[in-house]
Amino acid sequence: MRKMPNTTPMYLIYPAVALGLLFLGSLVYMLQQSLSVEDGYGLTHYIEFFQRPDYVAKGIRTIQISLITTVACLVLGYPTAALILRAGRHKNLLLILLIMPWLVSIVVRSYGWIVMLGGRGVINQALLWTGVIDTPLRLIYNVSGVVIGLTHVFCPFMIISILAVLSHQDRSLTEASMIQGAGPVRTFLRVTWPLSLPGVLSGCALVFLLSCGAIVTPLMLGGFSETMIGTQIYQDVFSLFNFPKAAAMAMILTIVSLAFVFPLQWLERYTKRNLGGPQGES
Amino acid sequence: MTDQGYTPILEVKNATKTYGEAKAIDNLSISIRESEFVTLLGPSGCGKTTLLRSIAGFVSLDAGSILIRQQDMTMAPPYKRSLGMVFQSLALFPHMTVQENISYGLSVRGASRKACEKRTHEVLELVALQGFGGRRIHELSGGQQQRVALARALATDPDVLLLDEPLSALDLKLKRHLQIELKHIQRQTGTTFLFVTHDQEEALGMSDRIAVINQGRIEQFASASTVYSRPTTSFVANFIGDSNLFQGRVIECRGESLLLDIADFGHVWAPGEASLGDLVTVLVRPEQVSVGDAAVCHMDWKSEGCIVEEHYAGSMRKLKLRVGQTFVSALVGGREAAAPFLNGRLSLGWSSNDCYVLPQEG
Repeated sequence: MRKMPNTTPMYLIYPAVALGLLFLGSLVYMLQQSLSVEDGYGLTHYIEFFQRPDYVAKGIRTIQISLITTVACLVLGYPTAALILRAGRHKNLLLILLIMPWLVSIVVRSYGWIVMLGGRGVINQALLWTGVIDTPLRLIYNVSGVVIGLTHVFCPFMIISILAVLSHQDRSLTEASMIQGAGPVRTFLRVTWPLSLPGVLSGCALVFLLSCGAIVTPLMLGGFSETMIGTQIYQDVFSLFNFPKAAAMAMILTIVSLAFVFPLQWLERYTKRNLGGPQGES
Repeated sequence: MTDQGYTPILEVKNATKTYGEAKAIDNLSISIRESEFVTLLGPSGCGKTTLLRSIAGFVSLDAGSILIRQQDMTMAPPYKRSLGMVFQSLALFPHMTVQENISYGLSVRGASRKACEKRTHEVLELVALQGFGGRRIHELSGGQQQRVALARALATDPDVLLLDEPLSALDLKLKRHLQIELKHIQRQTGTTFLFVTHDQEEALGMSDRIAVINQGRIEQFASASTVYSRPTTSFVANFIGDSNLFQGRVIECRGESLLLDIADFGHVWAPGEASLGDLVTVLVRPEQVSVGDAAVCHMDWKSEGCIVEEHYAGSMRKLKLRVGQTFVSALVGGREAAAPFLNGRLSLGWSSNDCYVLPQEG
């Protein structure tokens, strides 16, 4: 019997292998760096990290900010995705608007937020002028500034993840729910939401990971004392040239954030399997 | 309505829906009795699905009204209409079991768990899927999914069950099987069915009444046999079944009979009413055309034609004959169908009683 010809051209694998090697190589190099001490290899940098309460606090703050950002992106992103889905002929325009901010560097966008949120910024001026407040609110150089900035930058990822599952959802599913007597709220809770969970979970994982590794936004919108790990790594690399220490922190950050993301991934696979059929495969 | 002698369960009055320039449904009215199996039949894009979706409440009408059990539901949202629907894509909830799918409508209405289970059991029995309650949707075959969709729609005991071409995706054998079953279930439950299809055979086989729809209007709304044997327009005659339509001028009227002058055929007698000199359309179904000397000798009208096409379909043979410049389709059944006629001349004819003169349009 003749073998079936393999329809996937072999050369498609080369770029993937190149990418994989590059990624794996840098990870191994980072691990090696993080373990290197003056006289060989050891866990010194890791131990030092956990011995410094301010670093541990930074780690916890990184996770906190990332979690808040993820929730904020979900709360803002889900309705936006639903809106874009229903926009009909304006859908493409909205998608372009969604992606347009990426044409502008994050640095510029963060400056924009300083103008908006600063002590003499647009929002505070408006609130002072209308008499809602007497003294300017502290909206930046603290956690809230970072969360606002990160949410702005990463929300599109959430929206696109959710949009991907929502647009694959058969519209007659919600119609079937409605004709069975369920109003819009119940239809959402019992049909639309559970079926969109795979997209919600992958969006959350994406935003959480991106937030954990954020550097520029926390650097510009965060306070001096309340920095995140990413900023600390950045300082260690570019100001102090302490590569092994930075590598150790990066490893810790990677492991901790993956510890949050793996359960999400497992949950995503679980919900998809539960859905079965074409819904689950898409 | 009293003037029709029955109280309709569903009434659509002067419904119009426009998409841009095109009128999907155009001043359309229809009323349906309780426990009736009504089919909306028409080519794709004729507006039948728009009509169904506006009855369901997914499409809002530009004008007109919809009454269910004589209550005005024109503005009511779908979840307040107490209807059921079987979707073309079935739209079963993939994240729920068969049991959860079927009891969805009941639980939404606040039925107790026990009541839900009891009803689910009932409808599963009705669609012959006892013991499938715990299965997930993707574990079922296409035919089984079809039954679950029907069971879910029936579970809430709707006033009218809307069916949007639910059988179109199935293979022919399963389709025929489910058609019979669907009709059987409809009789058993006494639920009013409003079925949308473009498949005329499906419509003829299942419906009590068929509404033939074309360009957003109802061409004819009558029983299946009436629609087939007494079509009111040439569209209906053409759309349902194969047909031979000939145009002829009335040259003599004698009581209920007309003598027509048809090109290539000469003078043909046909029952009907028209005035002298009118141009009328006469319908002769292919199965009413006889071929072969033996059969033709008793016919009122006979001629000879050339066979231009032969199509063997097992139980019958379809012939296309040419008489002068006109083509005539004939259907030969029984023993004669077995052997090919081959090319050549063949006598053909029909009895006057089998002709039908269409009512004049416009």
